[in-house]
Amino acid sequence: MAMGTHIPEEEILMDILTKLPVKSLFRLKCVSKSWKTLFSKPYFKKHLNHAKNQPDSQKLLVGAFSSGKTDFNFYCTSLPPNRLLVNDIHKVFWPSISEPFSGCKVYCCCDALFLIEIWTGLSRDEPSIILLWNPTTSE
Amino acid sequence: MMSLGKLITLKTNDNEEFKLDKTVAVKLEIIKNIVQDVDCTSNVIPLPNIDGKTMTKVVKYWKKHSEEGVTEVQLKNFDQDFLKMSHSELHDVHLAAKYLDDNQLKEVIIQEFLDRIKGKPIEEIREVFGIVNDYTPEEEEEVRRENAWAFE
Repeated sequence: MAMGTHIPEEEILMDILTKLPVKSLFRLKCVSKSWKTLFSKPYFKKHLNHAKNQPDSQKLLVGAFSSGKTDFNFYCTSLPPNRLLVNDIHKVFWPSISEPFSGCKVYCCCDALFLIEIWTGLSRDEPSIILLWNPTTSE
Repeated sequence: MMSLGKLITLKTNDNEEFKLDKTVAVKLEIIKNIVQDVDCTSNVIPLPNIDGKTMTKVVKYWKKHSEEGVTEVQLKNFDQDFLKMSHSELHDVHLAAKYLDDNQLKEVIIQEFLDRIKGKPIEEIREVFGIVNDYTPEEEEEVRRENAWAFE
């Protein structure tokens, strides 16, 4: 009988935690070691799929040079369907790269993971590095 | 098949009995299945995973929500009052709702948990879920640093 079966503690927690935004989950890694392990499980892929389908969780990533052309940054903003003005732009942390920096190219993205190429030399003739970057977690 | 009496008795693991109108009880998927599937000579359904204290709350919720002519406002007020319980009691009711496959009650409880942890510091979140911090201060500092962006 279904009622006799034991429901694991993890499943009960999942009911609640999968309703939280991804950012909160990273904060909650600090709760305990077992929670940290919990969030690394494939279980949370389901959560990502859920987030993908929420219109208000879609984001636009913009790369821009600052006015002096010395400083290049990525900015992230939400993408509500019928709002033309965006007011929640925030700076996204870069993958840590060595200076100097001469350019960057975004090749493709899939499920909020980006494949980017970064030129670390003074010109584009210098060798470059290719990175898989997750702007959400800055990893 | 279970006899067609009007009352169904639910018996908790500490032998407390709850007599429920069958029309209320069969709204629950799991009770309906037992009523249909199990060759039951009595009207007593055992609930091995739920204690009397928790079941009292669940039954109170069911009764209010199946009351005839009850208004939205009344239900909202009732829910607000109903949810005034300790974290561990809330956890027990959540578990019971899962065993009983009662999605409505489950969602209400989950929302209450979310409200209780929303914007709260990590220490309070541990309290809500009854979690003992097993990080050393150094380890915790490290995890906080790694995820600093999420604390902004």
